[in-house]
Amino acid sequence: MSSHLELKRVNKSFGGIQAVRDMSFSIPKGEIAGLIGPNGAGKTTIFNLITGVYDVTSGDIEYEGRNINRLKTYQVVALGVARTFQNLRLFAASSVLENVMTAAQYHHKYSFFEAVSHLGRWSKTERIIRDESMELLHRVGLADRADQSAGTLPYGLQRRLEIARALSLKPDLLLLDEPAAGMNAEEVATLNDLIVKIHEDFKLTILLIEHHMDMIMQICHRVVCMNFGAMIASGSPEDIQDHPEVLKAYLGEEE
Amino acid sequence: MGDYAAGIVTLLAVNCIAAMGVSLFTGFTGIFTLGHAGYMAIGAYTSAILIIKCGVPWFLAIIAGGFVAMFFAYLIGLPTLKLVGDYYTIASLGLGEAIRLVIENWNSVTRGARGYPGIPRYTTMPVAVVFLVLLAIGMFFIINSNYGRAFKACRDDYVAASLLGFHTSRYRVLSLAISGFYCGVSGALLAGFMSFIQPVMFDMAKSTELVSIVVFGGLGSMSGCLIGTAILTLVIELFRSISQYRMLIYGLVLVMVMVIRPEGIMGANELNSKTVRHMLSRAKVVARDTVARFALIGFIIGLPLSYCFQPSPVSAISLTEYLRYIPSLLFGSIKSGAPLHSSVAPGAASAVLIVCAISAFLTGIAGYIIKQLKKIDDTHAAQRGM
Repeated sequence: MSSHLELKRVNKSFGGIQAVRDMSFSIPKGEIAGLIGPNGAGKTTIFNLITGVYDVTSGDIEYEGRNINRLKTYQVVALGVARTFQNLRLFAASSVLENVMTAAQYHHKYSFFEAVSHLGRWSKTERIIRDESMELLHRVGLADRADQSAGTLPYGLQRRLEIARALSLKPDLLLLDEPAAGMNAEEVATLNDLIVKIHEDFKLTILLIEHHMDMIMQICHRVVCMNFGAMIASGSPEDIQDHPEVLKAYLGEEE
Repeated sequence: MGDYAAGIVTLLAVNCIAAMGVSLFTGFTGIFTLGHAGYMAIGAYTSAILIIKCGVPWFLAIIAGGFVAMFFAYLIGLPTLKLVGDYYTIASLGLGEAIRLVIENWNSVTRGARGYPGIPRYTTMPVAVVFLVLLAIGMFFIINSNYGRAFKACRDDYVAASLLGFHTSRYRVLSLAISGFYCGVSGALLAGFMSFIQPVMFDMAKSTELVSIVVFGGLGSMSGCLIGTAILTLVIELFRSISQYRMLIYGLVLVMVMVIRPEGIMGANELNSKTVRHMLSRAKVVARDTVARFALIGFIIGLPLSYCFQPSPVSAISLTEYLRYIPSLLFGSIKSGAPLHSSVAPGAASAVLIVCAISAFLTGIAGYIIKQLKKIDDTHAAQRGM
């Protein structure tokens, strides 16, 4: 299988602090990959580099063989990359449905004059956007809360909403930043099912950051572990589980 | 309707158009502006010059005024809105003044600080109202479209918005251009209403007034900005008879909203049945707490009632005159030579008494109604099992 996303010796420094050091890994098309590491290891920075929030200092990020180093965020979205955020970035005051619609309109455009006059394609397109969004809300189990404002949802549901919003961009590569943070075991299990299901249904490649190890072990095909900005191990979940470097990073070194 | 009332309505419509422009940019796109009077000035002078120097029909001149202002807004927006943050706000501080100063010193074209006289009075009340209705429909349609959602997304979280595929700076510039258009049209209509324009009409104070109207009405609510404009324009106009104190009342109204409803009259909600019901239920709670507010409601309703039931000597004056007279009565400063019926004074004094009596009466009724509504609410809540 060809690699969907590939990082080649990627470096990122903020002033004197090197947040990412020589990171190289690739994700084959259609896999679920996990990115793990202790807090502050630079996982979210990797996401920000891939999505164009930050520019890489050196190295290459390739998406389907194409260099995307210099692309802006909205250009990365055009390639088919969508992401969720660790510290939720929903439009809190807007309704749940509107949150998804805001993203779903990406694939359904109409001209400004149709918007001002509500003529032409407006009504049809708005209906399509609404229907698509509702379908996604059904899928993540939020359909009955469509009119509620997003900020008032429980934490776990807000995370699901972020996934629905990202999915409405019809991505090929989905980046999930700690989708299970703050969830209890039961919620994590249902989230597992959801991720596996959308992975199949939408034929996605998924890269996820997570601290719930059982989740990583259950759904990931491969795992990349990093610490202090550098990769310390990569391979199948089983390999990673027993990797001495990984144990060291998480548990500390024996005296 | 008298000339005076027609004038107020026209001015109200003109202000509403400008306020809608600012509301789109500040309320929906989330960037404060302190220079939108500059775009009004551009619209006003463009329209005036086109009509007088080039003989363009007034209708086209108004549209042209809008588009020229839009063009300038676009040019100004390109460099200043690239970056997220308060850059535009700081720039707009200077821009508004810069536009005014250019007009003030460009004597050959704009006749400088003396002003531009002799503009035909094309802004009659119907013209202004038709423009307001059309532009308001357009604005509400924009908000209820993918553009409206895009603006709000850029306002709420530009990082998330850009990762949902929005080219955020382009949307910010678009928003500014549209709001420039609205302010330009508003300025052009103002020129046709006053028939004389002067750079000083479009100074810092005007810009600030526009922003305060939008904040007053509620950031992110188009109907709120219309209501806010209506209230603040009427406050200024109704209290014209106590000219030197009316800005005091203007300030008082602003402070009252800041204290009672810091999010603005409408908050971020639009005026629809759901919000009205919500606001009513909120108003019930607030009103229950304060008897003084009952009296206020009573006063507002009692005022027109007292006009209907006033003693015979007063019946000769019109409603607008009566309304204009009430404040001067309350604040005890009657402008000499005010165009009022000479026999008003004794009648008006008793009118105030009637107002107070009626307010007290209404206080009781309002209290009763609120109690009943509360009962209904509780029953509903119980049925829903809450």
